Amino acid sequence: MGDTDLEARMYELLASCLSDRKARQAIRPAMILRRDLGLDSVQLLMLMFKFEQEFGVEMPSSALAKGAMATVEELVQTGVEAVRGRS
Amino acid sequence: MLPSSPAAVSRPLLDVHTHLASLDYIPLPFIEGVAHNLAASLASRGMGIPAARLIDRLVGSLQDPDGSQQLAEMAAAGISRSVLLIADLTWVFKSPLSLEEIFVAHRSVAARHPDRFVVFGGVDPRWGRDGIELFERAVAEWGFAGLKLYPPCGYSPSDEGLFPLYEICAQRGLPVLLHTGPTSPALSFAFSSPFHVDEAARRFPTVNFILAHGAVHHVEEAVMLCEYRPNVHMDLSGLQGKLAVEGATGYYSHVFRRGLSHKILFGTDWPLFRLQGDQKSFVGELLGAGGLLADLPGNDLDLILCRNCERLLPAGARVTPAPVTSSDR
Repeated sequence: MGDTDLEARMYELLASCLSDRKARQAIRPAMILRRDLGLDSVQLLMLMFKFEQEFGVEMPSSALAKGAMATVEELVQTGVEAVRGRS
Repeated sequence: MLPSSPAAVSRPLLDVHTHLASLDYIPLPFIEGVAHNLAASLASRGMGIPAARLIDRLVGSLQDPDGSQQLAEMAAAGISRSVLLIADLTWVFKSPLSLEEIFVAHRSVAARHPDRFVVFGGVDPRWGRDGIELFERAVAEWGFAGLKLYPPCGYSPSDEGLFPLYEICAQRGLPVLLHTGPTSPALSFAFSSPFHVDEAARRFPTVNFILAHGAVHHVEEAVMLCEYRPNVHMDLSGLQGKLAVEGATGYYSHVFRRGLSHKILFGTDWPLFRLQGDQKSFVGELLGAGGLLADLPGNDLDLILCRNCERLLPAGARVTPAPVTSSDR
């Protein structure tokens, strides 16, 4: 899977964790997970576990450091790097 | 660097609510209860995650017994000093360490960083004379700076068994911080209401009581007590778990705009929200652009972030190291 596909898949995973349909359709890289997308703590955990199930790697702690204050872009980037680091 | 907000720049932060991250102090049954609640919540959203996996994750976030990661996060967030709270769960849960050993371990960590950590000792009143003597020794000889209570273990903060501890606090000018609101489902919620402290606060008017999570749970009760009981305060720890809910910012915002800034203390409840972000991100969320506290007047912020805690802590609070004995050499 190329980086572009990986990123696209990360966006899909994020969207699948959001309960708000409007938020799912409006994801942009600069958005902050909690403030702009309403990602709550349980949804953040869902995202983490979905990522791990999908890619077979643990979401790195650096991805969680900012928690729901991370931007979409930061989250996607750390996810891509984690998958790349595995291969 | 803190977020680019005037509110966040060059203000010292004192964190009145943290714990050392270790299963030695936060027992596994407590974590298991939290994990089962999380598993149920995930399942309700269509994601079946075995509780064991969640327990592993949570346990993984509790591996900082010497406080080194905590110190690094404090530095990144601009938190100059933190209170380490000992929640005495040893009466309820089987614990790898005795309460005295837990006290000693906290003394050791805080004595290595006396400018960064102070300690509130926690005692379940059912330990009776032994608990009172341990607490008295810790404040008189080791420099512990307050009392921490965990009523979900099954007692009221107005239980008369606690009065000798309150007497000690009154004599020495020490505050009492008590948990309010929900907790691990392994414990009781029967004494979760802030009102349970009212009798103690009335009988010990010179002792300052701090309602942990008062700005988050049972908010109206906590606000009422803070408004009308001069010696009752509250902290804002636990807000991390609430800010994502739509409208939450507006809901919690009113707590900080009711003329109670002299009664509210900043706190993070480290390490219990580590999976939701680090301390810097929480500070950013409160003080950054659009944050819950961002537009408060400077004096209110100073009170909440620093001066209230300074005022409630005994002057010169500083944990001293244990004397070196010949067997240590």
